[in-house]
Amino acid sequence: MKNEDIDVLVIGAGAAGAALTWSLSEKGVKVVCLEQGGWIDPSTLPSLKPDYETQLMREGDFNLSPNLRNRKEDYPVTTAGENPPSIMMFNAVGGTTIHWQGIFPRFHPSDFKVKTLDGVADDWPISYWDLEPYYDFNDKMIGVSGVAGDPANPPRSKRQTPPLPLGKMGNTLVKGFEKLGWHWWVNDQGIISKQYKDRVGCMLHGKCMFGCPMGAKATTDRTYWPLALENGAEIRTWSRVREITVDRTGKAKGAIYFDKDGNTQEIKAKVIVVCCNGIGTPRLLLNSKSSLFPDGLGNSNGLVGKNFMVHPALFINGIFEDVMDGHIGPMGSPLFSQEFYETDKNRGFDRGYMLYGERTFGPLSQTGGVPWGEEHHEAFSEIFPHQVGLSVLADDLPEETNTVELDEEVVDSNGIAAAKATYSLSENSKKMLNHATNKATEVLEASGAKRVIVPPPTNMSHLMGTARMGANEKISVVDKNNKVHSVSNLYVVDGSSFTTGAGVNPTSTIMALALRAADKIWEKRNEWK
Amino acid sequence: MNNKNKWSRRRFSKAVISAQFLLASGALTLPLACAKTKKSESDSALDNLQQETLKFAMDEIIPANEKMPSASDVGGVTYVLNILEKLPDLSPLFQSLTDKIEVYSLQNSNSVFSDLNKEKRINLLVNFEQTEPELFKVLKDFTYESYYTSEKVYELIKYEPHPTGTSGPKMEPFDEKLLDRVKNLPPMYTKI
Repeated sequence: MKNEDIDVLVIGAGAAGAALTWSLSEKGVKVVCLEQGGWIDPSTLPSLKPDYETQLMREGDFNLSPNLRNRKEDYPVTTAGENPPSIMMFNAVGGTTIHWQGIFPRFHPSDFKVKTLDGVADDWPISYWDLEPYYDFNDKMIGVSGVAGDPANPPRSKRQTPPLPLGKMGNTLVKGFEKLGWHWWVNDQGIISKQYKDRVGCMLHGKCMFGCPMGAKATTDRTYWPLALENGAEIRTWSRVREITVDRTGKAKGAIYFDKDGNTQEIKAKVIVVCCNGIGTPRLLLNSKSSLFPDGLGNSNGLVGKNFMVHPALFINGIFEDVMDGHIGPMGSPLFSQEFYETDKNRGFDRGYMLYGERTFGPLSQTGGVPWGEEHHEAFSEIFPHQVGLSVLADDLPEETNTVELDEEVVDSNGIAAAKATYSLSENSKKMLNHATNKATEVLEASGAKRVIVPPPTNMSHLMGTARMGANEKISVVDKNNKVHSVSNLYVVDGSSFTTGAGVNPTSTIMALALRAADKIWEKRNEWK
Repeated sequence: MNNKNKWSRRRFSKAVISAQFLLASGALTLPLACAKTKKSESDSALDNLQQETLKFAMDEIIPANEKMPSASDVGGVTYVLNILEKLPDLSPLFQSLTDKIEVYSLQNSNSVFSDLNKEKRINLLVNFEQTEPELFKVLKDFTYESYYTSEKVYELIKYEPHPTGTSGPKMEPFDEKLLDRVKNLPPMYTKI
């Protein structure tokens, strides 16, 4: 596509960039996407190799952290705060869907109205019902496994494929939830259990976070991108954007990027959409300084990079006498509970959390707390294969002190300033995690665990909130249609636009927002110049 | 991924089609990343003494018992040497590790580490863990890694890794009757 023909420039080819590009290309819009990584050769995925777990333990091409990969296309993320966040992301066509687990829950209606309901944080300027048709449409596009009818969530259409197996670990947890009379349900997953469209169903190999060469996991290089390219969209790989440019009136003009040979290129478009995730997006906006926007693009109120959210988490394990199969089968989560999801002021904190059964990696990743020496074998044989994981994903409310900034002392392979992510748990989150620890222990013990291991709190590495959506320009970066308040043709569409984090995994909401934003961009086409 | 081998969309599509076919058939299994081959001292990053030190140290990290082999019994030293061949930047780290263990051994017992009795070797490593925690972590982490990626150990602990490309594990399909109680709960979400 010739540069002068481009209608929409999308930056980032992950979950949001793929869905949005496809949707616009369906309408005949001429879209170019710049992606700093490339197409991932499926034969290189670690899940094909028995020693895939080494990718968890040390530097490697598929380590989950960009700081522990040796890929030129990654950028460093330094961390700080009382609870420095663990960082996971992937830079390639497909973005972080390449190594996500595929857990695919939706926000609750209440998640969009926490100020109104609970007096905390802010309401989103849209409701669940604004997104609901896009959630549903996205499910049909990529194929979701699960069962409709969960009483903890609004009704949704029949899932495209049946649930993935619970396995012995899942069935063990079911016994605990049933004994306590608590809510549980099988998780919606972005992993198809049967053939769907041109993709084959899951064969239960597991290791989903290290790539799915089968294509059963809905990575966007296998779902949206082929369709978008068929429609005429173009993706320019190995193209790292340095900055978004603006014209004299303050409209976004295009972008300057480094091509695969390291040469600087300029591209222009009528509309620019940033889809670089909750760290990459503020990093790019803050690096896009000009005389009109000396503090970075869209940052006239200083909120770009503020309110960083990551989902506080606990990875709790129960140890059972029986042999368990938590290390076998598709990763992600066979089942979840939202017994403690909605606010109950009697618990002493606002909002809530999700408990979910979580499959583990293999034996190597289970050696973390196993002592060396004479006691080693006995200690190891107590936990393997006897563990059942029950994770806590806590709602994350925005705090201005949790931030993504530029780290001028560290640069990427093109000399662009790195990102610095700072995070500390709020008092509300600490109380919530304490409550969740007790409840997770209760259900594991009800399931028959002889011992429960509660490690220190960590986070889910869900990158959100740093260009938040809001109706009020003074306290937000983008409006209800994901358009940056101060720039008429610039959009931010990814987890950074989240006003609050909710207590569920974010990808289905990111993709629904992307499909909705594409419609909103299209509705404004008469204003494109 | 090495940028020299950049994948185009066309190559990606071809690979996806062929991979789906091969993987679904269970016909494709790739070899382990670190092939286990015997190394001579001349082409090794560690000399004989360093290898000997590493062997005895690894065997105190994971010793043998009546059911399980020790770290070196399953090729722990060879595993490390293969890694050092692939990642030569790590060689100084392992040389420093083994040399420091020997320094400790000579200072405390006037003997090479491998000649110490078991109790003294363990005491030395306990001390080493406290005084050189980062180097000790290298020893421990790579010992665990070599052990728990070993096919011999997989057999003994009954772990089947099911790499993608083989037939997956057998698991019972989900029984929707399990949800009967929960299905009848009233709506739990806040209607707004």
